[in-house]
Amino acid sequence: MSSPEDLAEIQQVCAGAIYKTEGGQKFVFLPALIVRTGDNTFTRDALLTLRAHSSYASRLFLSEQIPGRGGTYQTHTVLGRTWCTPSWKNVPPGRPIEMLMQHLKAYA
Amino acid sequence: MGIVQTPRDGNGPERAAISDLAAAEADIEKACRDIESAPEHALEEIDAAERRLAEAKTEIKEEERRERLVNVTVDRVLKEIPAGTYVVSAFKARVGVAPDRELDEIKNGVLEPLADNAAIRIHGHEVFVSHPRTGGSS
Repeated sequence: MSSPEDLAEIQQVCAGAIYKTEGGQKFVFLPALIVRTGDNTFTRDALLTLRAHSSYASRLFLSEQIPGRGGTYQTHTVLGRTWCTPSWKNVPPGRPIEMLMQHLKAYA
Repeated sequence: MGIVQTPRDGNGPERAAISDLAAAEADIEKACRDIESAPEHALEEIDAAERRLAEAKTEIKEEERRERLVNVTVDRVLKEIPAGTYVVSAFKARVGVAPDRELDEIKNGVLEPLADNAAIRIHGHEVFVSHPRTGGSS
């Protein structure tokens, strides 16, 4: 779930994607990720957990909320930075790009 | 009398095959004209021209078959499929994506979700990623 091939695949949609680790938890940092919401496009730094995090099967943290999308947000501090994340659950660990696609449905 | 050789113009195998076809047809016409003046040579020329005609037609068909097939990448795997327009559900079946998975295309670095009933045009080199339909608001 965290191979170079996985990283290369997700770099097709976020060229600067890199793995990061904190406290044994592995993440994919996605700088300037494009988030599409219907007709609008937002750019956010994002952090994808590759395993369960804070009672969810996985999380996609964003640097800022997406206006009008994602429902209720929570804030978390990860890798020394404060992130927000919507109440979007049941995205199991898998290939990072698959996980990202499922998390982005929260804003569609 | 020998068969007239038509120079190839170097614009690809299909154009060369079409050129060969035209040359073979010209040979046949010429051979038919020659029948009246030299029947014994004309029959040989007709046989040779017909062989060239058959070869040229085979070459054209093979080239057309090659041109229709293009490569796309689906979940990192290269697939060879005919170019053209597909309904997404049929495309998924064609490239081995399970019907219950959702398909996205990566276009200019952005994930574009594809509805199963949408139409997509395949030109070659497109990149697709599928994923399970999970995830939901709590």
